[in-house]
Amino acid sequence: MDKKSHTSLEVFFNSLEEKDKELLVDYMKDRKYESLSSKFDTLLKTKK
Amino acid sequence: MKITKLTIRGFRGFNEQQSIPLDSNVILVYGLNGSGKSSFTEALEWLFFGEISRQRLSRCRSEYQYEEYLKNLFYNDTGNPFVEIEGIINGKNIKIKKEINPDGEKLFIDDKESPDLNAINLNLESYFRPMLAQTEIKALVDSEQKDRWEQLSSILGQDELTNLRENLISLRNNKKKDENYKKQELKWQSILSDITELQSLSQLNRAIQDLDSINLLSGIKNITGSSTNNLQDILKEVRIRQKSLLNTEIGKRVTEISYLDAIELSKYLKELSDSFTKLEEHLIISTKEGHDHDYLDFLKNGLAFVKLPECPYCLEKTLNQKRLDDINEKLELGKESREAKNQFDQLKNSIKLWIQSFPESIKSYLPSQQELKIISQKFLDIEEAELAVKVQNIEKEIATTIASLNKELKSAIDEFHGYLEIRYFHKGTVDENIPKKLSDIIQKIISQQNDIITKWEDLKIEIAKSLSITGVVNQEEIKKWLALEKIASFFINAVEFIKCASLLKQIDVIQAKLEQYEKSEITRLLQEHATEIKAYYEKLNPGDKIQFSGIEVKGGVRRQAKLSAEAFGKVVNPVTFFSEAHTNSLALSIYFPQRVDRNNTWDVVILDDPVQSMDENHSQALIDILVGISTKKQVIVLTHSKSFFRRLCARFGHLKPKIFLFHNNDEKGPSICLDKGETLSYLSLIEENCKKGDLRSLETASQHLRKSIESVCLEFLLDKGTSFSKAQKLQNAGLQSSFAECEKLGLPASETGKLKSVLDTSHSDSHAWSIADTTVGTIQVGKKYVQDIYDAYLK
Repeated sequence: MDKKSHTSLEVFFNSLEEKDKELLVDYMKDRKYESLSSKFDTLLKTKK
Repeated sequence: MKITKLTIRGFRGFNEQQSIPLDSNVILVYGLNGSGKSSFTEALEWLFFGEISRQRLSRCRSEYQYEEYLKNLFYNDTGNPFVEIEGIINGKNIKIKKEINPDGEKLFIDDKESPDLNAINLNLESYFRPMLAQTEIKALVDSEQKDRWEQLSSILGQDELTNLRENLISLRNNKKKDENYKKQELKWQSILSDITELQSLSQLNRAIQDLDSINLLSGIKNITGSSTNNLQDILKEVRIRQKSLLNTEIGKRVTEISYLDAIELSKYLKELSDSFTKLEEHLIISTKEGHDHDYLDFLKNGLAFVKLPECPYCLEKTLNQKRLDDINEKLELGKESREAKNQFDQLKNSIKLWIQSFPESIKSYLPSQQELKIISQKFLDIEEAELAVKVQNIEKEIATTIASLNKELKSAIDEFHGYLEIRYFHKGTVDENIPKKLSDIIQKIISQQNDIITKWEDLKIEIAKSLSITGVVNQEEIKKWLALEKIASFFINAVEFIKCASLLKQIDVIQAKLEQYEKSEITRLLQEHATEIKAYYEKLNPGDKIQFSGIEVKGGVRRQAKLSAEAFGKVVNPVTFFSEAHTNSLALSIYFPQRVDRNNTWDVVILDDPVQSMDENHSQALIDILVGISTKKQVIVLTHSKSFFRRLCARFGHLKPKIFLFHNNDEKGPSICLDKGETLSYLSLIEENCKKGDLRSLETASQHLRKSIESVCLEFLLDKGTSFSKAQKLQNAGLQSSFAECEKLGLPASETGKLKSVLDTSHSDSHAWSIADTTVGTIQVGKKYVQDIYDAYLK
């Protein structure tokens, strides 16, 4: 699988401050943003 | 992934179930507009990507309702509509089916229900979509710059960033729409405006703007000199300080309210009473009996001529002294009476005016209701509810008294005016009690007014005691402490709002960073693709003087993607300058590097009507590109252009394409036929015409035989790797050249000899070679020779 898109999002996510990362995880938990939330959650956990 | 079979039922333009075998490296589909070609592409889009480009890129997206736009309008079978493909992923056969179910969509992988397509391990990101829909091609260039940005972002695989941005915007908008948030925001704005006016609180400005509780706390502590770190305690201190200042201010207001006392008002009324006495006196004089004013005037004027006791002409005595004195006395009395009457009129009018203004003058002797309202509110502000109520009571009593007395007084005054008119002007009979009635009412008013003033004076003493009024009032100081209280209360009570507003600020920061990052990514990716985009454009427009220069992107809130080109050395805007064919080829050039060259996920490329209004040169160039692509991927091309289709068939002939003809799309869906290819089609036509047997049909069959010989030679040449343009050139040069080249490439001379045997080769120009004999026998023999060559070398 090509990882380019994931890399873009990942690079952006990792460039953010910790509080901004947590915000993205928390606030995307809204049903509408579920897929982004789980993606960010995974990224946050991987980083930690 | 490669697709080997597509089955559609009840989806878009397809009604009855149709299976289309796609087990060939090249699939060519011809069909007129509305014959179901786009539904074919959309079926694949929907199956894999859950949406169709036509809906995704539509400017009226909201009109695409689920049931209406996916399900075929005439489909009324009992089973659910579906799209199913059979294909190969990493060497393994796979079957994927998606149903339009009343409760949603159902997905099946190898006949087993599956929640999603994750199990097939296929990258389903949209930038790897193997299909290029008509809408995508059309919309890329001819769109607003912001929409073009989004399409480019999608082509370059930045969908998730765009998606994230949209989510951030939507999250912020939802929070801002909340009614409670809006209310608190107004309060916050009002505090900000208070602060702007107060220089002494300017140090808090930043903290309030940023809704920064920590800096606000330390700022307030600096101002109040408080030692506590608790905002709640600081608020208490602020209130105590504020109360002391307000006491001083209210006290000042209360003592400032000074009124004329009742004696003053009584003096005023005594003047009125004196006026009535004078009025009576003047009336007596002015109405004295025996004074005929006309006669007196006559005498006065007459005496001006006859003032001597003797006539100067006859010397007779005209008036004696006694008579003259009598007349003069009468004239003197008449003058006094007239003056008394004038004074009576003046006095009567001034009394009228005075009485009319009396109700208003009563108000001015009482405390101002407006002022009492302000004072009572201030007591409420400093939580002195008891005093506030007392002030309110007095204010209400004044209001009631004034209202009731005004009514009573007005009616008495009206009655008194009537009395004056009748009594003094018309000398009629009047009720002599009327002036007394008015006088009594005035006395009643004075008495009630005195009561109120006494109550107010008592209350003033009570207020003064309660407030312990001290110090000098400083308005700026009062405003400062009131504002401090407002700020502290706001920060204590609007915790949710502050949290939300901080979140929104944080979102703004993230969004700004995201936009910056998006722009840099798109710029970088476009630079990476630039050479390939230009190369594709040049291939599609060989030798053209109109050349594509590049794409310039702008980031931030207003995102733009601007295209630029050069025409005959001048910079032009492709949107306004390009022909539709140039626009089309530019869109394809932008899509191909990502969707085809960098797409390792899909072993197929599906193009839905890619030529649009391209001329022969453009479409030929596109075919050359597609031939190149077909060496690496399965190519599926759908077109409505007959000439493009014929060229595709000829050019791909050697690759044994599967050719489908879509037509007669009615309520049952498209009718789909598998086409046999040009040579075989001619052979079928020959057979049909021979069967008819009449001369005209045999003539037609003979022409078809001639064409089938040309066609089999062309297909043989292409099959042996001859370029399409060379094969066409040979064909144009005549059959002799084609035969010679075929022999060179391995077609035995015996085979070409057989073909020649049915031709009249007596002409030196092989263009003129026709079928030697238009009899059924010769035509059938010729047909057999062509069929043999096809079966032996091309099947």
